[in-house]
Amino acid sequence: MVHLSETASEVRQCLKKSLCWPRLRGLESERAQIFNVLKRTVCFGESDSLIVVGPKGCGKSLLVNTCLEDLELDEQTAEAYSTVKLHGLVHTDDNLALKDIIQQLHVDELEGDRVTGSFADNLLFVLQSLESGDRKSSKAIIFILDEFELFCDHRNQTLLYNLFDVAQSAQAPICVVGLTCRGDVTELLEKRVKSRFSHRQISLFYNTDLSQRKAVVASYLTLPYSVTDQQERLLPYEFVKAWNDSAKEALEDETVTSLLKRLLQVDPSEKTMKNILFRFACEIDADTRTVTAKRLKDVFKRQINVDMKKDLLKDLSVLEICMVIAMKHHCDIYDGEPFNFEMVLKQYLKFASQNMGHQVTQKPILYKVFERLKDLELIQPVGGASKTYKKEFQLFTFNLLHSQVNEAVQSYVGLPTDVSHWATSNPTA
Amino acid sequence: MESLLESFPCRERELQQLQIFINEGSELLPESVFIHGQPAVGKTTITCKYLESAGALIAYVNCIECYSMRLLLDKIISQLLPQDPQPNVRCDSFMALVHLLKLARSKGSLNSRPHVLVLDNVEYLDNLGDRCINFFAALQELTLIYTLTVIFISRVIPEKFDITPAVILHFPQYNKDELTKIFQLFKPPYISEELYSNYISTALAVFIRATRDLNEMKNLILDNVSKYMEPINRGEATANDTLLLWRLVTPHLKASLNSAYLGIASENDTDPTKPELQTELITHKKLRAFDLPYYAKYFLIAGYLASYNSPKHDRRLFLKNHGKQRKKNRKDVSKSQTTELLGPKSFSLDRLLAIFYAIMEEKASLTVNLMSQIASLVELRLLAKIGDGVIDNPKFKCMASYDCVAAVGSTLGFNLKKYLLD
Repeated sequence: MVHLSETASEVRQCLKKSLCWPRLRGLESERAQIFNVLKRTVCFGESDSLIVVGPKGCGKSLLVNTCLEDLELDEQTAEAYSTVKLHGLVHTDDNLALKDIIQQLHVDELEGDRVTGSFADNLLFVLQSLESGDRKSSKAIIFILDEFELFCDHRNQTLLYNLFDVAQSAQAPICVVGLTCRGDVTELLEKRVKSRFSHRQISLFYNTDLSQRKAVVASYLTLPYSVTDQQERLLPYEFVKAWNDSAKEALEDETVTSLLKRLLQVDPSEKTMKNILFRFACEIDADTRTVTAKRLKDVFKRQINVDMKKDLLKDLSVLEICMVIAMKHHCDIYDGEPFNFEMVLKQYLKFASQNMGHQVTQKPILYKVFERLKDLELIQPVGGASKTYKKEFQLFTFNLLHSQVNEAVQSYVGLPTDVSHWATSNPTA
Repeated sequence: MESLLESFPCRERELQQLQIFINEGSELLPESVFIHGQPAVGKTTITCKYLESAGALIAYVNCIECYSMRLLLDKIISQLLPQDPQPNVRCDSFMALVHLLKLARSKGSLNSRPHVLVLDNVEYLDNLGDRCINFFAALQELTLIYTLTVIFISRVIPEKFDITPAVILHFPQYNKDELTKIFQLFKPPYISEELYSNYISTALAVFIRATRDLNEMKNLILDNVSKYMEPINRGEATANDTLLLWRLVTPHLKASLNSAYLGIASENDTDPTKPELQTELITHKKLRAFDLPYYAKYFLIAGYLASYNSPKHDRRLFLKNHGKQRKKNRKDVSKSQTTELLGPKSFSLDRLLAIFYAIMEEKASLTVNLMSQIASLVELRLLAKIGDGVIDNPKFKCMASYDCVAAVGSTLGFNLKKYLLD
């Protein structure tokens, strides 16, 4: 009992670690397929290309990384290949990508040094080095292109064209693996690029099975009995047992099950779930001895039942709410047509003139309020801001649902009654 | 932590949340944190102050300052890696940033304590490219440095961006009680505590309907403290007579409410009982002494008339023998009222010239000089050119307000009102 806080931080670390470095579950056939493709390239010099397609957070990167790890452990393939990892967000044009390819292939010679030279030089260098190899003798290279669809935006798709071209011809053995979340990715390729692609696609989907999802959550919540890392202090066996048992029990709880089910329906991505569990792990403090269903419920509910726009509306001042209501009424009357400041002002003044409690009717202040709503992106200019409009006449569309406004008005603390009456009244009547 | 709680009242929950996710002991930080809330609720200040106290290394970048990628990345790298200055290394692409961070990681300089990149006003990051924010959201994954996290701060809600931040924190707006508490911090030295809290409750009651923004409130309220003290200093009221004080100060407060949000202090010598001048929008081109060339003034007036009068009334307004005036029917009136809200309408060059010659008494031959005056009005944004397809008969729209054009008209002895139908 002396080291309560230390135990808590230990537990936090363990849970966070298992969330940060997850293990691959399921997907055995895909794993084998990718592994075989990679292995054929490495062992027999058969160049190939493939694309892994799947929605965000379904484990594409994890799958490919696991395959690479498998390859590393395999005895036949050891040391006979090198890997080049590129990412669409990082390598925003082909020149950068080429530089990084050179860098990653010559790590030893270029430590800390940087590749200079023009795009043409770099391309020529890469192509010549790839051309000089042949199927039998040279080392295989595996290219991993994360966010593959972004590489399609590059000028002329030069990099993709050349990589696929090398993969097709009798040059150094390479394997191009693309990862993308776009199902129509082959349509993004130019014709000459498309014809060089092997059209090997592996599709992944979200796993929406409740019992499997439960097993995943359970595996993230359980603590290991023995820590392989020697430096770390082992948690007491009784504690780990109590913890794991309570986790199992908490997951059997009915509300937790229904919440998990709801999360699967709303957002099946594993990333969302991991974010929630990360939060759970962070909130563990010295008093937490077990996983309770209540805590799980809390943390899930906070993620699922939030309407941020409604919260935003509750933060507005009464005057700003009045403007929002005026916009809502305008949309009611004109069936969602866009509006400008003058129209909203007319609606508001109609209300303010009947209710003497509203001192603020000066146009400049109301315009500032209007601009604040614009800054919060509750309203959006039609066709972007343009110089050919006077500011008051720029047209805007309303970005809120009427139910959101109504709910916010109802739950707003300290809203004058005349305003809430006005909000619920029917303007068309 | 205690001192933080003291200097930021009513933010216990937010500070606690920050502490849960980022603290000295945590080796694994969340991938990204998104903090959103209205302006002036303490998002930036509290985050930075907290991180400082938690011993984290902060790289703070306000995205509104960064109009080019180089500025943004240089700033980030110089703050994240302060110990090894590499003046000859250019950091102008995401690749260079990732490369430098990875290099630093292999040297082991990033592992010791939490490193936090704070991106303020993140909605302006879009100017640098659509994918910018996605890159920063994935920075931890790309660099594999788990002691590095990115905090996005914005007034816009996170669902407007195409990212799934690991943690979303909302800083709510202060309510009335909280504002009262906060204003105790700003108490001027020359006013007694009791009097001050009386004044605050009076002032908040007036202002809270119009604004809840703390900065605005601060301007409005602290400007008027001396007004509240005035009757006491003059001996007209005692400090205990709250009702009288309330009655005396309320007109002042209402007057300064008129300048809420406008960033101008209400002038000290204005008498609140005097009827306020109807202020125009300050966005208008309000120029009293307007110095335009002679013909350009007429063009401006002609443009205004063309924008705000319908072409079918031109005959009646500008021709001497315009025939009999037909009776207006009711329907017409109501229609013109709704179209008025749509603002100035566009008109063709022909119509502008026709009206121009109609309101000019003297003859002016149509030369290139005249046409260039129209071009310079467009350049001055008094007229706007609509579309750019047609060269021989372009369309324009008048962007000047009534006040501005009327002032121009008066310098020519031209009565604008006479020519306006509504």
